[in-house]
This record gives sequence, C-alpha cells and structure tokens, in this order.
Amino acid sequence: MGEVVSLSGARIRIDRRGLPPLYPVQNVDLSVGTGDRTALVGESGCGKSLTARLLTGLLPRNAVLEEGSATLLGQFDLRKDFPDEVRGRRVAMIFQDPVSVLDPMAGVGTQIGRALAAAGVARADRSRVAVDLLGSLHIPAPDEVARKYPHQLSGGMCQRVAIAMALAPKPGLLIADEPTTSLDVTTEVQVLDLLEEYLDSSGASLILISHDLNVVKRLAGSVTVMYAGQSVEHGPISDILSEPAHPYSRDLVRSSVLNRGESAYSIAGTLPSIEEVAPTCPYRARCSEARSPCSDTVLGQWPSAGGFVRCLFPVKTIHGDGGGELE
Amino acid sequence: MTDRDSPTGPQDEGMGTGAGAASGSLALKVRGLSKTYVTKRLIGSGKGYQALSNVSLDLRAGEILGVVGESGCGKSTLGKVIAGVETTSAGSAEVGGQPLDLEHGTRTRDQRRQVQFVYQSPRGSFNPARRVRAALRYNARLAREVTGEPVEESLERAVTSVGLGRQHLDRYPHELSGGQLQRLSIGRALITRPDIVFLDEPTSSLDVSVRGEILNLLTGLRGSMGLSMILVSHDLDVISYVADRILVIYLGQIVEEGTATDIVDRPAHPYTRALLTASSLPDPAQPLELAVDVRDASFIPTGCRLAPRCPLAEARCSEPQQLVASDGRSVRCWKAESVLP
Repeated sequence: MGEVVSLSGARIRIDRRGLPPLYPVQNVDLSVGTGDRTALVGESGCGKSLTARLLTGLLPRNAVLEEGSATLLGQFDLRKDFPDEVRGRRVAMIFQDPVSVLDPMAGVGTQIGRALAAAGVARADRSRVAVDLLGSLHIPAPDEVARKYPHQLSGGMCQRVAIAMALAPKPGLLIADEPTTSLDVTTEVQVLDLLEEYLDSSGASLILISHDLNVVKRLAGSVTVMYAGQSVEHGPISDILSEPAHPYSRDLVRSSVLNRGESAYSIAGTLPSIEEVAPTCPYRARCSEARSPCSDTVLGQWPSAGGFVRCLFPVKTIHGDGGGELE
Repeated sequence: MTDRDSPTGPQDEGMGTGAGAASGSLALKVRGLSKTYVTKRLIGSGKGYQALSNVSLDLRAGEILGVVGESGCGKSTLGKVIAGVETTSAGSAEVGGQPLDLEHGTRTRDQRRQVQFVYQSPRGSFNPARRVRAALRYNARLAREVTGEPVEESLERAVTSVGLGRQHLDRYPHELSGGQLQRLSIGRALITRPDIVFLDEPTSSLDVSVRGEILNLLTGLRGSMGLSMILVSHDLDVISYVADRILVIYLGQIVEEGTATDIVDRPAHPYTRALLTASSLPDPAQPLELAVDVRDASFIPTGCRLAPRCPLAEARCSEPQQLVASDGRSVRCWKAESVLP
C-alpha cells in the first residue's frame, strides 16, 4: 500500500514583522496510506488546520516548513513549491464554513463547472456532469439546485455543493477540516454519510480534522491526537477511545462524555504559548500523571499498539471506572 | 387534553403547558409570543420571516429549561425578545408576576436587572481594548442602584461565584482563555442577582476539553443560588445533561416539551427522534432520519412544518398541527398520541 502522506518531525514557522516567530506546528508525524481514513483531533490552536494547509499547499505566505520531512503522494516534496497539478485535483479540501467557500455571485452549477474545468472535463459536458454530481450527493431536484445561488440554499445544502466541488476531480486524498461543525446535527449525519459513500466507492484516503470525537468515530479508522503543535499519540480509533496511552488523549475522551447526574469532566489550564518550541512535554502543566522527569526530558516517541505515543508515563488504561469510554 | 393554540387567544387559555405552575413559583411566563423579521426594501414591502410562532412557556424558579433546535429555528430570538434586545407586538411575558414590555423593549432598570443574557461567543462579548472590570461595571452599577451593593463588592462577588479571583478583573480579554471568559460573562450576568439568565449556546464556541467546566458551573449555580436559567443549544447532549425540562423548537414552533428524561427516553415527535438519532446519546427506540429539503430556510409550510422532511408524513400532515398537552408533556404531532401515555 502506497504512502499518500508522510510527515516526519514537521515544524512550521510563522514569521512576524518585528515580533518573534510562532511555531504553531512543532513536531508532527503523520502517515496516511492509500485508502486510510485518519483523523486529527485536539483542541483549537493545536495545529490541526495548519497541518492540513501544509498538505494542500495553502500555507499563509509568511509560513514555512522549517524542519522535518513532508512527502505527498509518494513523490512530491513539500519543502519545495507545492505542485499545481495536485492542488484541488489529486488532493482536495473541504472547509468548515461552506458559505464563505462558495462564490456569492455565481450560480451553484457554474461554480461546480469551474471545479470540473480544473479537472479537465470538456466545456460541453460540464453542466450535465455538475447536475449528475449533485444527484449523486442525494440532492433532490439537482437541476433546480444547480440554477440557484448560495444565498438561496441552507447551510447543509451549501456544504453539499462544496463537497461536490471538492469531489469533482475525483481526488485520491480528501482533507476535511471540520466539515460538519457549522451544520445542524440532523444534517451532519447526512454529510458524513456522503463522505463515507465517496470513500467507499473511490478508495480514496481521508484526513478528517475534527474536535468532535463522535464525528471522528463515525468516519475514521485511525486517530492522531495533537496537542500544542505536536502529534502526541497515534493509533486505531478503537484503541484511542477505549484505551488511550497518552494522558491527554484520555482526558480528551473523558471530557467528551456527559453522564447526567455525574460531574462533567474538563481539563484544567490552557494550551502553552506557540511562541516557544518545547522539546519537553507540552502537556505536563495540565497533566495528572506528570512527574519531575517530564519537565527536563526531551521527548521521543514510543511505539504502541498500531501507532505511537509521545509520553514518558503513558497510561495503559483509563483511570477511574467507566467514565471515559465511548461506545 | 388542552390545546395551547386555542383561537380564543393565548391570554385566555389555561395552563396548557404540561409543566404548568402546579409546583413551585414561576420565574418567567411567556404566552403566545410571535416574532417576524422583515427585510427592509427601498421600494415596496419587505419579505417577512417568522422566527417565532405563538410560543408559550413557563420557567419555574430554580429550574434549567433547555431549548433545542436547529439553527434558524428561533431559539436565540426567543431570548432576545425576553431580554428586550428585539421587540415584538405579539405575545406577553411576565417575570416574577410583573409584566414585561415586549413591544418597545423599554425596561425599568429593575427589569433590566431581572433578565440577563449570556452570549455564545465569550470573546465577542468583551471589549478587547478594555479590562474585564470595565465590561462588568455596567451591571455592577445596575445592582448598586437597585440593591445598594457597592460596585467593588458586587464585582468581587461575581468573580468568586464563577470560581475566579479578583486578579481576573484587571486582565484584558486576550489574556484569558475561552473558558475563563465564558465564566466571566456568566459572572457578569450574576452581578445583578437576576431572576432569569438566558444562556445562548454557552458551550458551543468552547473546546470540548473545557465544556465540562462551564456545565458544572451552571448546575452548581442552580444548586447554590437557585438560579432559573434558559439554556439554548443545538446540542442535545449538552441540553439533556444540564436541563430539567426540554423544549424542542422547529421553525419557530414548539414541537415538543417535557422533562429531560421523558424527551431523551421517550421522544414522541419525529423531529425529537431525529435529533436524538443524530446525537451521540443512545438512539431512541424508533430511530428516524429526516429527508433533505432543498428549499431555503425562509420557506414555512402551511401544515406541519416538519412534513416536507418527515419520513412519516401523510396527507393529514398538510393540516396545521396543534400542540397537545397531557401528563406533563406537550407534542405537536397527531401521530405522537400513540406514543404518549
């Protein structure tokens, strides 16, 4: 099985005029094979979206991959210029807010036509293919929808259109950055089903970025947990949810569960500043397992079942009884 | 069985809401509230969008009432009208037995003290250029006028009641985390010793890792201060965790109302069942998924508003549905009667 994405020790630097640089991504390892469905989870500000932008060539101008290696589709080195034939064609991205992705001044069919043009579909066929594409996303009366403007559609419908545009060139790697966060729960399920359908039929790989473990559980086969710009744990979804090894993964899983009548779990403290690069554990200030070596040992990564964990004192099982396990 | 949408008008009907005033005093009573937003046009009359349609509700003292529904269903409008931010000519409201002016939004200073609003985004509800103390001062002065409590004392009471310290008053918003800021905006609401706090999606802009902190704070405040709260969310997980009773709204109408246990364990309305199916809570006995509706959100069907998306819809659903109350809960679906006891 070929490697679609291979990141190793990636560090992204953002330069600021007159201010010290920021390191929002400090040490990320990520490996996605053909047909893999991997999720990136973590709190906001942990570097998930910037990692995705690195993989789609959409890093801001003042951001650069300073250290580490990054290879896309087994042949493109991301330390060099991003290959134009890949962006939006072989690698497509679905963004969080569909309304700002779509052009308010153009009809939906026209916009999908633009994506099809980029995919090399002949002009004469574009409108027919656009309608077919909308139909394949279970949109009722697709020819009618193709004539509408984004403001005439609901948020869920706009996200379907954005997905149609992303899927138009039949990408081999789909990066979905919080694809359902701005949608209602009833629509969320439908959108996730659509993505799953595409992945099943095309065999494409997926990188799903989400803070919602319930969404992740539905789509992803493996999870990379990120904290403060580092990938702290990677493993199969079932292991991470039921038996996480990193204390942060455990705390994240715990806090996503609400049981009526029991106190809700939350992680005390806040993320460390992204101005400094810490070779030591970034979670130690909030971690219940932290001991003195945590503050002066440079972290390596240790293999765990089907993945890795970056922690000196990993927790093998969830502490307490039954509180943190998702079904 | 009583009917809340009786043609005699909302004022004349009895306590249709199943949760009636039978037990405990009422913190808030709303009857027949409707609100239509009109888009202004240069020429001709604008297009109206009915955000709320004949909504009646009771909030008992010391209770958390959860309001759940999709975006655009009128959840936030409900709070804004009660808080006097938006006005409407249809409907009435009483706080602690005293009528509230909904038509002009004019409120006495005491009424402004009574109803407090906590917004969704804690970052957006603090002035980034001013210290936290400045953002809390208006409410502290309001409290001083009515209760005579010195400003400094009420500020201190506010921060300690939400588990923060005096030092947080002198910070700027950017120096605080999202969770801390949301605590402060709840603290700001508490300064005036309000009768009702309306919380509009208080956890949706927070990370799941700190969500629990705010939810624990809310349940704690209900216990320690007997605070009455209306909590609005699109997230049934959150609502079912904190709320005593739940109101389900769809396109401006209440479609179901009942205790949190009833709604979660025995949802009667198809929409509630769909919400539960989509949430991470255990699926209802009869899971249900809604169909895709291509129409934009401003389209409101004449009969049952859910009918175009409801897989159970039949010919009778094209007639308007009444909210029928029985045994502590109300449902707006003729098919639901078989589910209710």
